[in-house]
Amino acid sequence: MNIHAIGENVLFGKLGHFLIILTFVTSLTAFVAYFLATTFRKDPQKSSAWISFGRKTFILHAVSVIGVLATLLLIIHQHFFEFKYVWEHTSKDLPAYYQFSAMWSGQEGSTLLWMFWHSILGCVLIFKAKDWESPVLSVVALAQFFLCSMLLGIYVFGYKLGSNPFALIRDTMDIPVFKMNPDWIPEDGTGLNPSLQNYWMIIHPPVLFLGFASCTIVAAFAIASLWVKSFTEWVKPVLPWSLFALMVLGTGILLGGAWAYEALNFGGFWAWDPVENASLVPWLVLAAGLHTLMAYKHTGYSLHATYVLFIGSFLLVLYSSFLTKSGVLGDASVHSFTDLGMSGQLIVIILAFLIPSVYLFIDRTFIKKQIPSKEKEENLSSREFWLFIGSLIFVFAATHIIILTSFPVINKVFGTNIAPPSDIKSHYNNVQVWMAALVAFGSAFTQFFKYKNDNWKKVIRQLLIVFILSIVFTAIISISFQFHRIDFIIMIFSAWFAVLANLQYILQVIKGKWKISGGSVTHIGFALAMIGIIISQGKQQVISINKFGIDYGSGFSQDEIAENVLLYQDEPNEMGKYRVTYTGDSVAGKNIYFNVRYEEMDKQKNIIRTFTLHPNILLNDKMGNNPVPSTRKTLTSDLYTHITSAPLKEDGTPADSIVQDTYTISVGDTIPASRCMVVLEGINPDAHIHDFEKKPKDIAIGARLKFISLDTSYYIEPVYLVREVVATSIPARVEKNQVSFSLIKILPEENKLQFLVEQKLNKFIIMKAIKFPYINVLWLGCFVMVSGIFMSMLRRKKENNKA
Amino acid sequence: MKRTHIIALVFVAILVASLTVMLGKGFSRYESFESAHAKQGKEFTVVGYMDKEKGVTYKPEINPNQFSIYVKDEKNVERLVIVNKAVPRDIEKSEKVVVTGKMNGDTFVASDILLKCPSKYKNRELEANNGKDV
Repeated sequence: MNIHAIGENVLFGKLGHFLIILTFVTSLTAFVAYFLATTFRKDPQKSSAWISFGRKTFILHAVSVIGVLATLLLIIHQHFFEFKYVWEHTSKDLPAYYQFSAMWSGQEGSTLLWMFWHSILGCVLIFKAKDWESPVLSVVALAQFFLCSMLLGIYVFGYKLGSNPFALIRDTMDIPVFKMNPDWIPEDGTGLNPSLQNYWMIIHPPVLFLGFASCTIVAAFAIASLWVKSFTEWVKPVLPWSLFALMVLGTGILLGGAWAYEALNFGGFWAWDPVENASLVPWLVLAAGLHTLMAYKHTGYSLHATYVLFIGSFLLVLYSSFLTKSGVLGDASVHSFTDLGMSGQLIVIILAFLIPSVYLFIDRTFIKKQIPSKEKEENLSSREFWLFIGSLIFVFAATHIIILTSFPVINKVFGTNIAPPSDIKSHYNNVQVWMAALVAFGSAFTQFFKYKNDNWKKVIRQLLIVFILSIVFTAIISISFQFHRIDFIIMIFSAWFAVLANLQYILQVIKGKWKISGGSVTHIGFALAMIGIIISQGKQQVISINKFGIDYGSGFSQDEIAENVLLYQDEPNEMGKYRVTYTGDSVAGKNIYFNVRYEEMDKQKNIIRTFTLHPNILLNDKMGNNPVPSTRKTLTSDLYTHITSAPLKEDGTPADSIVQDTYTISVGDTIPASRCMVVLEGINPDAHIHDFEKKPKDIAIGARLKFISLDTSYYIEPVYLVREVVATSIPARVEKNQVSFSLIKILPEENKLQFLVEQKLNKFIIMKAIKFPYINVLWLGCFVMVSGIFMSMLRRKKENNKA
Repeated sequence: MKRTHIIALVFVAILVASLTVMLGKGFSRYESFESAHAKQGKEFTVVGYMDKEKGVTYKPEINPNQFSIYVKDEKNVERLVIVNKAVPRDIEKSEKVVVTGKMNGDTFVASDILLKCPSKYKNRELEANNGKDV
């Protein structure tokens, strides 16, 4: 029995909901106060009064956001299953550290996480933003106001505003049990989706949302600058923020990739899933904006573009939350959230920022003509020109991705029914590899041009040696890895060129001054990551190619698709240079670990190395068992092993099984069985039966079956015996394959025979193994790239502190 | 007009042109089995519901990379769908399936399948037996 006193825990829900309403009210108040402070900025006395009021309300707001978060964590931690959110996302057996993952696994929790970071960053700005505090925090507070509205869960004129994470099951679901007992509380929750039960899922969402929140800050500076018509002063403070946003959002995306690689089973770190794309696109646009900002800072060009890109990146963050939270992606993505009926609200939020931004931009550009811009064109041989071109490429890449990702939206708006390309991954790869190559190439030479004007010939002379070296390196890699695709070869070349040219820039031009080499380090990291991607993905090798599958005439090439192999326990299978054996399994709690032994062989088939991997299946009766891959990591390659499926007993442990099938076939047809097959070659009307005395009136019909297995083939003959009126089947058994074939029916009219095939199958697993060569180059590149951005951020922060 | 503007316009032109070309050939369309039947051998995406009574036929001991199900499309036409993949987990729980492939006679041969499982993110009905601890 599990009956709580009425209202005992419900109090926490009331508290949580009260705090949500408090955050909502304080965000609105802070917005109004900061808005007025900005409006009265010419009147210091009035303005500072509003600022001080705004500060207090914003800090109160931040405290109440933390309060909401703490309350939600508390009800999750205490397993108060009367709350729908707790019941839906957690269960009693969920380890404590995954309670964090559970907290942000729902829409409400992820919104809350986003609000949390807005509050923290907002408080930092209160202390650091100086003159920019009031306009910037107006924007942040407004963003908070809209996010809070998504948690309200109250009805306004019949429209449900937001979804309250503290809602009770009995208030949200109409199920009969409450009629009998209104105080009924579920014994246990439905549990966290097992694929989210992974350590990356504790860290990935907070980092990603910190990235999203810092995009808001960057856009807030841009909007603030347009608003208060201060077009140059915002550059210094926004620069470290934009670097911070780029670094954190980039890290967040990469952590998501690391999770996909380690916990998911598509065998890769990036699947071009709409949800992944939705976070990559704002990052690309932000990177473009950062480059135009640099151009503007040094030359006065590209200011308009910077506004569009920074604000655009934030709007794309909002758009991406619309895509993932509105349910519009429905048929296109495996992991979008389902509609909570907030699509309308999400669209309002986008418009609430889009319309004022567009108004400010158009007003300041065309009507008041206040945004400084230069009449004279950029010089072809100047850094600012190529920075602008580079940004255009980023934007092009982003546009391509966002248009393809938006097809479900386009279909909905225009009533069309366009489906994404059937092989969407290669479509994206084929286009985006060119974008990456262009970006890498540009990142190699652009820095060698000085701002404003420089000499072509000088730059070419400077870069000639590394250019030739890059060709040599590309040739070495292309030949040793046997790359044939021209786009891959060009990508490798551009990446090498970027690595070497940026190294040269650090050593020769800025003379190894680490403090100012952040940009070049970032470019090197990007290029290394690209080399890593091309090699590890382009030359990934499916080890587990199935050699004994029988195609039922589907017309597909088996090489392409037969990447799952069946392994019986203790029966070694040769796959490439490995001899792979499923040697057994062990159970630990809800995890079943399969021991997969790899014996690496040389050309003479001598074993040179042995290791065992332990892929597992996480049992979950509510959401389906979840396989978790296991990867052998070495410096030069990863060997990824994944259990696609395995027959399990009721209690979840692996089991032997017996399969039975009937086949009705004619002479010449084949019956498949495991690792063998038989071909019906003919009918023997007068069959002899071993150890059996035939009587004269008996009718004994034998089926002449050619038994074929991997290493042998011979004839067997099951017999159909009719004595007087009783028919008996005398099966033919093949002991080695534990299979028997019985002739059970003769259909003379159709000229067919019916067979029963029985086969005992030992414990088996179906597994997939893929080798990713040099994937560590990718992770190294990512690390270098993030470090480079960090170095730049430190540098810009220091410059600001000095000023 | 500035050089940079011209280049930006060229980019837009390339984007529009390439999208138009892709719309013409690369993209599949959501179809029903009937309309896919008329164009044998061409690649289509069909959205439908798996017939759970007929279940999944998967004989991994014979071919671990193939299974078959019956799918009813949105116009209520049911066809045998052979999928050249290992059975995805949760297929029995899927609400909707999206298959990409070609029609081969009356059989739809799919190279890819995407499942929409309500169990993952959507509100689940409380299981009936959960009520026993009342």
